[in-house]
Amino acid sequence: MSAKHKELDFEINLMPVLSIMSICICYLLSIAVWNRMGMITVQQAIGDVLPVSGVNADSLLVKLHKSGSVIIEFRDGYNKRDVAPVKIAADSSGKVKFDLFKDSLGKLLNSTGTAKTVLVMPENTVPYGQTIRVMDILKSYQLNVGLAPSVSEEAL
Amino acid sequence: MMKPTFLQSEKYSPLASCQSLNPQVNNKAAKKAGGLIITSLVDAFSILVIYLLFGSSLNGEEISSNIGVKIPKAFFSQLIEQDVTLKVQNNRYFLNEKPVQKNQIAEQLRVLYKNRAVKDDKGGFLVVIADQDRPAEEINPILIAASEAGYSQLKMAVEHEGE
Repeated sequence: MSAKHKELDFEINLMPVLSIMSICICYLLSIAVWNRMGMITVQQAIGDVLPVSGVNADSLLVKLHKSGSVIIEFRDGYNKRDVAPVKIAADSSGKVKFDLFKDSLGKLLNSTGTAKTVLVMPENTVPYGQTIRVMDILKSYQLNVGLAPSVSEEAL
Repeated sequence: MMKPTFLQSEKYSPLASCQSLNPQVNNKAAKKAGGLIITSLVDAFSILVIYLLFGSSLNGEEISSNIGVKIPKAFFSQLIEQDVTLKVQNNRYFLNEKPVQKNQIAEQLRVLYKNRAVKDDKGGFLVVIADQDRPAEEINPILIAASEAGYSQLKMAVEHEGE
């Protein structure tokens, strides 16, 4: 009688494993979030909030025009120093020159120094994305950013 | 003497068994189909699954955004926190994913704010989602309504950009 040859090797069928993994990958790819969302915090006044003391802190007012130009004006404490508003013209395509705005703002804050709050006032037809981009640049200088409701060009 | 099986043969080679010219095996019943080495494929798939599993669990809050709303991008943004969301798309407003009339936004926000204040004292904030190409005047009703309702903080949803 011959001994029955016993196979010591065994095969693992990997096809079901591959099938399951393919399904997992397809599912995870379909629910994956590829864009990270963030948020920019904007302060606004509510109700009747009166300042505690008579002296207002230095603040800036940034006006966005539909032509793409930006005007940085000074309020409160700055008025006493007679600092002239800074105007940044638009580029050839009618959009805000963000790099120039950032540089100008940086030089301004370095030279005049103490502004901590800024109010952004866009004109009605200014794209929302440009307003956000301007606020993003203001946030980079650790300023408290407020957003005023947009106004017509005449009011601006 | 037991004849070794084809797979146990020393001369077995998956590639060689596929050769029609100068075949390396003498077995007439040689398989024409070669064996496919898929262990590396399983390794790659498992790494991909693990990466996607970790990737999907590390995100913070999720906020649904309608297809067609292109939110603006920003560098200096914070992680999204979800409270009350107000979305504007083509001059239509959605409060917590439910459509709302422009003149009713303030009233509904006031109710939400009041309920929020009862639950905790943090005051609450409003997440605003809008398309970057739309004019800024579409945001006006939101700003005014939020101010009337008592929301002092607005969180503008942006797509975070790395520096």
